[in-house]
Amino acid sequence: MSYFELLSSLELGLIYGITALGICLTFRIIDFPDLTCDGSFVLGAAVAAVLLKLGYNPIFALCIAALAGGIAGLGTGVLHVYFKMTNLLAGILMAFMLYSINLKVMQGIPNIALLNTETMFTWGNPFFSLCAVAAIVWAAISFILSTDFGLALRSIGQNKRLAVNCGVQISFMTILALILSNALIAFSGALFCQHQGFADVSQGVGTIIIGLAAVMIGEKLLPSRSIWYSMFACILGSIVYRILVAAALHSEWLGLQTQDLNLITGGMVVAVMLMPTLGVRKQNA
Amino acid sequence: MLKLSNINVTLSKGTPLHAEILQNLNLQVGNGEFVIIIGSNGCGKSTMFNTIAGFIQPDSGAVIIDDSDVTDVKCARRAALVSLVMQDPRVGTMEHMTIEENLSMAYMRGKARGLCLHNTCERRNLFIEKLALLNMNLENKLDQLVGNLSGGQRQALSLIMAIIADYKILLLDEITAALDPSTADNVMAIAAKLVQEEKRTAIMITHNMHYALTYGNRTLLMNRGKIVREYDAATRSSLTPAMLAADIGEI
Repeated sequence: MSYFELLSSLELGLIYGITALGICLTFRIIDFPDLTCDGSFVLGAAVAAVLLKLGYNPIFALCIAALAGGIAGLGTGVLHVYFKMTNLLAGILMAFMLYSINLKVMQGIPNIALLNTETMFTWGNPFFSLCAVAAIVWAAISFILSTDFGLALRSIGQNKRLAVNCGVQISFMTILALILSNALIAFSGALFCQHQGFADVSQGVGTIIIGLAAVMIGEKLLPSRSIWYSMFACILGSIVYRILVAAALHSEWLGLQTQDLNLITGGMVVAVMLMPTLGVRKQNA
Repeated sequence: MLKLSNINVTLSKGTPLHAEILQNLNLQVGNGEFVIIIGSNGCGKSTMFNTIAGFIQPDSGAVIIDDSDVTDVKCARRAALVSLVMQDPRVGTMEHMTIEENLSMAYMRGKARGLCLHNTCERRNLFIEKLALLNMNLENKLDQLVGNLSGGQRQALSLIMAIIADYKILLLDEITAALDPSTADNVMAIAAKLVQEEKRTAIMITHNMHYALTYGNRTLLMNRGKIVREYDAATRSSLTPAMLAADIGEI
């Protein structure tokens, strides 16, 4: 693997690390298997691409993309809480509808290329900018989860009955967590779009598996009870995932090609699940 | 003060499982009083607790706490008034969180949870002070995961969690049912001590006849959704656990 490929894996790892944080928030923290992410990732990319094409500031595009993702999360939350849909159905339905919405946002063009358009990565070294962005997001999410509000979110995923006993309004908190999670995922989609220089309506397929793989690899590498460590583990897991994929695709003796990517990812998820936890054994897992 | 007036609760209404759990139930518990509820399974004890805590909405009747009618107040909001300790210590605590996080979680019961760090020094000192009441050395294990504690320790912790935030009514629902006899005695003694120190209204459900006579100010016997017999302090002193058990069987 060349230096360039390694750097590109690190950068993709950091971008998808933010997706992994969002997925960790729903799947792990509040125990809500949210499948909206395949749609909200593209939504973020689409919104960012359109805004950049119109000449808006790249940072502004990121913020609006996150906002759009938050609205998608709100949709899933409302479907689940007020329309009493099961969590899986609410997410799938939202992602399904987002496909059309994304095409609408992209004005019917399934692929927008950002040639000669200013992005946040044309300003300076992409790797360092991504490190800074990932660090800020990591610190913000870890901080939120260390507050009283964050503790209430975590209690929902662990023991709903006790959470209600302690006066936590489960429906409201679930919706807030979904908004936050999908805002992160859309933000990550917007970063991906700026980094790769295009937005494609089908680029979100499998976001959930990539994110989950990252979360699971992270949990195996850094089994910890501290929120700051476990959030960092999501980003680390995402980077390790990218490096493993790049290594697998570039080792000639394996003879793997780009179209084998999903097979590799799936195989990796299975391998991670079978792997015993490094270091401390997880308590009562 | 807690007052239940003419409470009716019917579960699975309009189905073959139709069951009238509480029927015109009336109960009044004064400030500082510690009332023990006994009765056979299915007589409506837990349903009564769930009605007081707001998990179940009564078909008719009123739940009144300190002169204000809270019948229509949702249970998340009612948590500021009613504190509940459950039978199973695994439900009463969160095993993947540390002792400190569990207590912090309970500390904010009924308050607005904002974006302030939960692990403040001030809170930790309060937790240490309260945990020291247990004599279980938990005050030195604030960073331990609750999953590593024994059932008795977890139940004791859930007692502290119940009293760490302000409340008006404390409900103890068979808190010793999942524990071995000697741990049960210990947890019961701690609970009685806490109730005495807190001097607030407390109600306890128990199947242990000995506890039903030893602790509290009076004992109530429930059957088919009603309170059918009341034993005041004088009557209780003349009763033995066996006689009380016979009363339950008789009804």
